[in-house]
Amino acid sequence: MSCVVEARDLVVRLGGRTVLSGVNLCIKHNSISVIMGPSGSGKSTLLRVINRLIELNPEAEVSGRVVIMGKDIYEWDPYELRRYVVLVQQEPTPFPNLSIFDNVALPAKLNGVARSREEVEKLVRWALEKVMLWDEVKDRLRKPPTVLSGGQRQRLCIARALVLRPEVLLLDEPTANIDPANTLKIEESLKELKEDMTIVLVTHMPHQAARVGDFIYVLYNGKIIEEGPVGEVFLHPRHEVTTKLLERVL
Amino acid sequence: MRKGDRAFYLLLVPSLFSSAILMLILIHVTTVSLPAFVDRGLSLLTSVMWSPPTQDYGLLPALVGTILTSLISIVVVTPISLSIMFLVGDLLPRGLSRVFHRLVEVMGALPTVIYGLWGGFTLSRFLHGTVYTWLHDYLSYIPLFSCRPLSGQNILTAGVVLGISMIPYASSLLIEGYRAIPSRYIETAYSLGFYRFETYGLVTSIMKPLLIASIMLSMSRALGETTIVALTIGNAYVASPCLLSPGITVSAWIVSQFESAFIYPGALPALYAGALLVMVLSLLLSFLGIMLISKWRGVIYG
Repeated sequence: MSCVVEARDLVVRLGGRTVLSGVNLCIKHNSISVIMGPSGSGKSTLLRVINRLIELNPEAEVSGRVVIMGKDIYEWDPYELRRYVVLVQQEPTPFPNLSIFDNVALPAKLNGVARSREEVEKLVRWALEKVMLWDEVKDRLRKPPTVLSGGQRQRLCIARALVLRPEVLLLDEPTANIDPANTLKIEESLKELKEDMTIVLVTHMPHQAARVGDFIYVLYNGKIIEEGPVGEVFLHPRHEVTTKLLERVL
Repeated sequence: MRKGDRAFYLLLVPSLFSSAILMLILIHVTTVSLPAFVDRGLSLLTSVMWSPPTQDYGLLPALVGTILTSLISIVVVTPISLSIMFLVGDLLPRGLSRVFHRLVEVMGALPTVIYGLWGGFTLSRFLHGTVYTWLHDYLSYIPLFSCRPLSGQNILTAGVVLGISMIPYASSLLIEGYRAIPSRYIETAYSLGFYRFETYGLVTSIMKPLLIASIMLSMSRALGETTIVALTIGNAYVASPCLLSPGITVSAWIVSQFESAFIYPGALPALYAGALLVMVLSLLLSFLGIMLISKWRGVIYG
């Protein structure tokens, strides 16, 4: 199986500190790859390198190669790349000035994914249904996102990313601060979404990795210390750090 | 009483003092101006005559000048301050942004008389020889440019210089607001593939209440500005919708008439009435501006 995202000897330094050192990985098509590791191991940085959001940090130095769909990320226009490889951040960030509907519709309109009003409405509904939010918000689409709970806001943010029809969906601990019911809904959505796209999920929760992941990469001190199919790594972890992570000691 | 409590009451005195001063000023201005409102009624606001010997006191020319110059200043200051905000907040590298921001702040430390002198003697001549003649020649069918510009000292120049003088204040407010926006919103926009200008559009719409508040606060300052206006507006007591004609504002008129107002009966209350109107409008704008800012903060961090 070919790689949708491939990193070779990836090194990232932030303000002189090495955050990722010699990372190699191959994210497979239509899979959910889970990245686990203790805090500060470079998980979020890895996601930010993949869609070139790291460039917003003037102190970041990146070397090595990252190839997306066969093309080096520096051959992509960064804005275009971010439409194919969308990142959803840990903290839900619906735009406070826009309604629930407009939060989802805006990226679709700006990126030309949907042009007519009917197309936009259809796409917004599709995205909200994908994250199981449609029934909960269909009667208050014109309300601001502040009326939603934290978990609903996060699902709104995932829906907002989905309207771009990305090839790769990067999720940075999307369920870190939300309740179990919303967490399960997000996990169900992800399992369904992988039919249409490739998902990279950063998580702290081994149970979540086991529930949704196909492959796992364990990051420790900026290096991938273990990787493989989730079942295999969970049953036979080779590294002590992996064992501790799975036992939630780290 | 504990030491800490004593310090609290000691610190309370200056704030009570300033609030008391504000109240005293309000009472004083209202009391002195009241006869003008009672004696002249609506004609105080609608008459264009100011003739102390015949005791005709109408404030319309000064009110029109005040409103026009304030509105022009807003048209000037808003786009420039927004550009400075994006330049300092996002586009310039950190070191250069700091230097540029300091330069803008230094602009705010210039005495208004300097802006007035530059506007009245340099900018007005330049605009008269270039922009104003062109505006009249080609756009005279619009009432705003219908009169022939006799000199560069007119309502438009006063408004433009007022706007320039407010740039440091308005841009500081906006830069502070831009920095208060959690960076996650801007990162989210970029991570959804927004181009830089699309992100700026989003930021501007997130900041809309703050932008309106900064316009209100800037306008509340522009309403009372005197020195710049006195040196740039041409000081003619006429009520004209044409921006190329000389005019006057309430504060500039008060300064020019204050000496003689003690001689002619009824002049002082009429001048005070003008001051009261400007003060009430200015306080109202400030109050609404501050309310908007606090509401906006609630939405952003809520």
